[in-house]
Amino acid sequence: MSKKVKDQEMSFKFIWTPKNVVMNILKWILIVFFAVYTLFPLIWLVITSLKTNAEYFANPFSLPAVPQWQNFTNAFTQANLGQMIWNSVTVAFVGTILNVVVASMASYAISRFRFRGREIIFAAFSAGIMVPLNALMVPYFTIFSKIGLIDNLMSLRILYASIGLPISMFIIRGFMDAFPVEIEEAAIIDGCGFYGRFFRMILPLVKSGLVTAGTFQFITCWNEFVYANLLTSSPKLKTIQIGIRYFTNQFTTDYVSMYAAIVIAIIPSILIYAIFQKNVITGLTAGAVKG
Amino acid sequence: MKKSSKKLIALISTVVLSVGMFAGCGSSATEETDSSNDGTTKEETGKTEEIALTFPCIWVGSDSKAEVFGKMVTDFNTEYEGKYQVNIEEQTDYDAYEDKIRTLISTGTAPDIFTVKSFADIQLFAEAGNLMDLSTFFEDSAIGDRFITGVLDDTAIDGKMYAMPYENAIIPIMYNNKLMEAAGVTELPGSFDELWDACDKLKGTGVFPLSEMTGDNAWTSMLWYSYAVAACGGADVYDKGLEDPAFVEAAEILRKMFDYTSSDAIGADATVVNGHFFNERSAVYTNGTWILGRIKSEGVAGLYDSLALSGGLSNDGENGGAYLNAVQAYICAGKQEDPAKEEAVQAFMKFITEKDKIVELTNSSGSLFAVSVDSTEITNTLQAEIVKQSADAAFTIRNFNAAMPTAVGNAFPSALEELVLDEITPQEFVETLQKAAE
Repeated sequence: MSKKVKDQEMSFKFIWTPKNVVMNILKWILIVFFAVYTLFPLIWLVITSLKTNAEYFANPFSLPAVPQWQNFTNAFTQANLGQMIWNSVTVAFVGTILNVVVASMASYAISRFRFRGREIIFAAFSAGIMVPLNALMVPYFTIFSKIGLIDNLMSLRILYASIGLPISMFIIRGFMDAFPVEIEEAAIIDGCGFYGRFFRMILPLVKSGLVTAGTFQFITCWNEFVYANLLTSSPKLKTIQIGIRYFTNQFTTDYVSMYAAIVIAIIPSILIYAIFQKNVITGLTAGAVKG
Repeated sequence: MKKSSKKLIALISTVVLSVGMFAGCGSSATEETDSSNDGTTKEETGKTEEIALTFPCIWVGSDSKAEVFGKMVTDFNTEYEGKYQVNIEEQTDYDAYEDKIRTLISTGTAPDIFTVKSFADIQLFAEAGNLMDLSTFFEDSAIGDRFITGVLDDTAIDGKMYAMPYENAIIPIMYNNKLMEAAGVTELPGSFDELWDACDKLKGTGVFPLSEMTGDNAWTSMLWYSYAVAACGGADVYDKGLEDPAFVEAAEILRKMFDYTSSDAIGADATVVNGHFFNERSAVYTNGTWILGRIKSEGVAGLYDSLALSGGLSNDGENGGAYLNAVQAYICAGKQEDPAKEEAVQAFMKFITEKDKIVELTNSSGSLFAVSVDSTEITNTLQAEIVKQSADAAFTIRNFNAAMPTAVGNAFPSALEELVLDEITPQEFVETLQKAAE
């Protein structure tokens, strides 16, 4: 082992002084507090999904006397969750791809080219973040009605791709702005064309930004409910968020089956985030979002 | 190797993307005939075309009416096979359902059949010319006589009928007799003064006397307020408008009720309130008959059998014995150009208001309906008692939300929260509601 490595190891060795011990205890209290704060709702959800409704009402924080696995069976069979999950997967996947493709192209134009009205166009896109989506139900319904896409999953794919553009462009543009112009100029001198620069140079270099925007977009598509309910009618076109609400109604709710459906529904979101978390964290710390 | 892997990933991504793009498109095409705007299926069934009606329906999923109502729709489709067909679109989230209905009506694509809970909304939709005029349908005495006396008159707008009253909400005050007796309360309170005495005794035994909430639509507290308004203002209090002093007086009563409720009442939703009453942590509760089934199945052992029911309380010796009774769901129909479709809608309305079907629906769901049935045909004794008490009540009155425009109902929970936190006075509470009404 080299001397340098040994020195590094030495520098990380804990020195037992009263001050260090106190600081260390405080550090771990904070870490455990935030870990519990973050994980507790998730653990509670899983535990509650295995209880009976009577147990839930008697004590929301108790453990189930006997785990009620049939809550998960109920969720699948009564609400037809399998079909709904497939619909949500196709909607979220296509909505995300479309969104990232369009957002990256728009961001490239706004970030790398100087033309009049550039910032106005970007501001117009970004303004979309401020508009509450529920306020746009009538115009969106009218648009999809006119083009004959009511009760069709394509309406959701197009809509989700569109409504996610402001945040995606905001993230991706930040990455593109940070990318030195000189490198692109060098590529032009070497004879690299417009498409070559975009696909072979820019996109690979802003990969973290694309993955960050894509992950947010996927989660948005997966969790969206209002428009999924508005734009689809047929049972075979319903998405998972509608399935979760299958167990609620005007006055009564089968809470435990609903929680079982929620547990099933959050698995893809967690998986997607787990797979791409490294890129998302890089994206959040290196891109525009850092402010 | 690396290059070929990239190509493989690109190929797989393309295939998945393509499959994703087209998944659902095919199924939509087949559905198109079922949910087209004119509602007429293109499938030829011999000589006649089958008329399909769209019905976004809230009585699905885990709703207590879902099973029997679903069977009624299936039976209708079987009886009118080849002629009419009702296609149910399942709507389980009530807020989202209301948003959807408002959007469809705003865009001129009202469903063929749908339910509305607020009479004010019906007035609005009717004024906009979006609803089918059902006046001639109800002129037929064979139909009109099916309904509870007076309910059709209350539904008329300028002498015309734009909706059919269907589900009725009759709401008693429910007492846990076991807890009351343990606290030394031997008689049910008849006035608010007696209620406060009972509450003091109950509090001494360590239970929360009353079940209150401010979360969501503040449902149970809104019902308590309705009873307080009835006691302070009498049967015609809503006709006098929110300017009547009874509403302020009732707000004072409601504020006092929160001194006798659980510490988590602020922000609490129906789950919390039900949880307290179902588990004997609270003793007095108010809700509709539909909750009886859940009290039986989810309440602690013996709770259902120890329930005692009563109507409203008096205030200063006046206006006691009121009963909250209001139409909870009206069935409306989108305006039709095709007379054949109007006939189809009317045939469906006629079918679902047949007395034997309503009795079956009542007994299976715990709900009550605007169609008149003999209380002896109701198998659930508590439900039958509620019907009887309501029929014998000094007067019946709508609950506050049913009597007020939707905007007032929406403003109620946050105004109540401010009232309970003493951020506003009872007078200011009512002024907030008045502003919402404007």
